[in-house]
Amino acid sequence: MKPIIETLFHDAESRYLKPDAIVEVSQYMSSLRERTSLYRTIRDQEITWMQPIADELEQCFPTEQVDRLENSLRNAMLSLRHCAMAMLMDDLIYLEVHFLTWFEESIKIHGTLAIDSHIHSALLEQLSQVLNTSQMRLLTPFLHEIESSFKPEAVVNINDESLLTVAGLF
Amino acid sequence: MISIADLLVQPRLPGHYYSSQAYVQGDLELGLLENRRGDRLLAIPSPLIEAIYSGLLRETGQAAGLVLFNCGRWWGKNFYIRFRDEVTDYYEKPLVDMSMAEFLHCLKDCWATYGWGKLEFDQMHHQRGFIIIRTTNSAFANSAPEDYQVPACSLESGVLSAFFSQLVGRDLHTVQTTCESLGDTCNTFIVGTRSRLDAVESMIEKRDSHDSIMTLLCA
Repeated sequence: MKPIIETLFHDAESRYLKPDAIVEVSQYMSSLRERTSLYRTIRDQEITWMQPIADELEQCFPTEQVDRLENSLRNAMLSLRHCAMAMLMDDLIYLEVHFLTWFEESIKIHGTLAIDSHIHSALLEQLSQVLNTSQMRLLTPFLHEIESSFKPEAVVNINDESLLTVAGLF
Repeated sequence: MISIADLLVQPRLPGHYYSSQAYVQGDLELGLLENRRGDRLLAIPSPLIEAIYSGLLRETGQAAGLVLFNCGRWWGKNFYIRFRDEVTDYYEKPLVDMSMAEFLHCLKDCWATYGWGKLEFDQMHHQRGFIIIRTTNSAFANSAPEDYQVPACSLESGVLSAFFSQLVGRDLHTVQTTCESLGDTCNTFIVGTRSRLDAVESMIEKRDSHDSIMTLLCA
């Protein structure tokens, strides 16, 4: 949840919140209606927004196996869901702990940097067209965090033997 | 043409199963710590591990390492079954069909979330039939008595040998070549068939370097 509120739970025995922290909590509470509304919008429009991206994806990567494209699309939707939840709680740490470190490793393992970063850019473009300024302002910090997973050193030779099955090792 | 609706037929989009915030749960009213599947977890304080060492050394002397290794093998067999079931249920894919990299990713995450430290794989020698595993922040290395003088991660060696034996369906063994308790920067384990690792048993006892042991094994 909002880190300041979580701190509340842990530190209540030490002290009452200082005035500026109370202001921060109050501001978060005031923004909850807007956050909840945006969360519902993302939940309801997920498929509508993603389908055009999927349609275009096969054309952009014509030689890529379909199951790899599907996997990347699933991960993109997962990233959107986690961004939505993190936005609702205004908690970047949530995104990091629940998703980012895993996603970064997953991109490296499957060698899907090009596909994943393409989908993410397309999603950003899509969202900027369907959401208003205020909604984008709420969601953008979390979408930008996702971009930190797209590291150039994540490019792995897809024929790397590390992708062999474990059963074949011995 | 890819249908997004079809991709969402399954109940979940699988992601970070071992995320600590999602994985460690519990019913604190009943005093139970549990994983996300409802299996019981237990927090083990360092003094308990120290006490285990102390008791074993007093009762069994030099056999302490062997006792811990055998405990680890028993534990490892069960850990493998739990790990396999959790991962295959969640990702909806049989474990043996997972790519090596995906599998190792899950095991690394699991090891960290359980608080056993950090686990890394070195695949330099895997073409020769050996897996090299390096761990840091091992609780067993950390809690070993000061005068133990031998590698102290016997329990983890046992866990790893049973785990990989179950995974590949062959009897595999694990030896430890470096140890944090002896001043090394990490704990290094070699997993391979017993017949091949027997060849370096005396080198292990003499505490020869990891590199010299691997040189002999891969010769």
